[in-house]
Amino acid sequence: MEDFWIMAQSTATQAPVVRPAGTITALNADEFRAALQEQLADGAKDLTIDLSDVDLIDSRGLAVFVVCHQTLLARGGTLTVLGADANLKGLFRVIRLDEHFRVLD
Amino acid sequence: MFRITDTSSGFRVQMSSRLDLIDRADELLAQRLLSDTSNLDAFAVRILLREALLNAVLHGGRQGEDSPIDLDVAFDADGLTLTVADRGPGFDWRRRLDRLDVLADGGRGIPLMGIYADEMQYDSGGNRLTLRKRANGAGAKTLQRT
Repeated sequence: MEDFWIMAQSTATQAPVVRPAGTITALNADEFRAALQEQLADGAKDLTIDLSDVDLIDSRGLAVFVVCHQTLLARGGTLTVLGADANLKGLFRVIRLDEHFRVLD
Repeated sequence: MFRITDTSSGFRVQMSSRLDLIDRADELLAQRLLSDTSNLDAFAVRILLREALLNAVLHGGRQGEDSPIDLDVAFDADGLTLTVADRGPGFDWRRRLDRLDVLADGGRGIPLMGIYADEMQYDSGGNRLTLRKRANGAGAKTLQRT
């Protein structure tokens, strides 16, 4: 199993991008949530999560996306998920989260 | 504890109730799926395994060595059967199968299993779960609106 790690980048002009890698699960959901909160701490309204290096997300991992979406929604901003492969796009679709934030290839 | 026993149709694992051991079980299953020649949806099977074990770890009694979880993985010509049993008090799983507020903090585990499994059944006590995934089975269903 691939180790879990997170890379984040933020600039003055662009929305922060968080790029986790591996599998987002109950075991590392808190770490993932903390990485997102760190990027949102300065009041960012928009955030992108790049899933290009993620192969699976469990129910606890999905809950972190929901919390992030709710935070951004309250600020009038949006969450964008990109880099999702067919399996992950299917996961966001069947659980209906793609009706609440954008999930892109 | 993570004790693996090979069976005629697959393998059994008796494991401690620990989150990190779910990764180990997933890794073991992923290895076996590599040599499986049927057309099983590996992603769906991994979701089923992880959610079944996660539910057992989080709700199946005290976490740790004294509350072991039994996993049985059985391959056959038509697919795969996963059985997960814990020592917890059980619960009314039907009540939680299709009832999910999409933006709720939690409660996605059982609906996810219902979506990805072709068959899903808890025993009457609610602490022994059997999941069936057929090779060439139907794709994942979509959660019904509540």
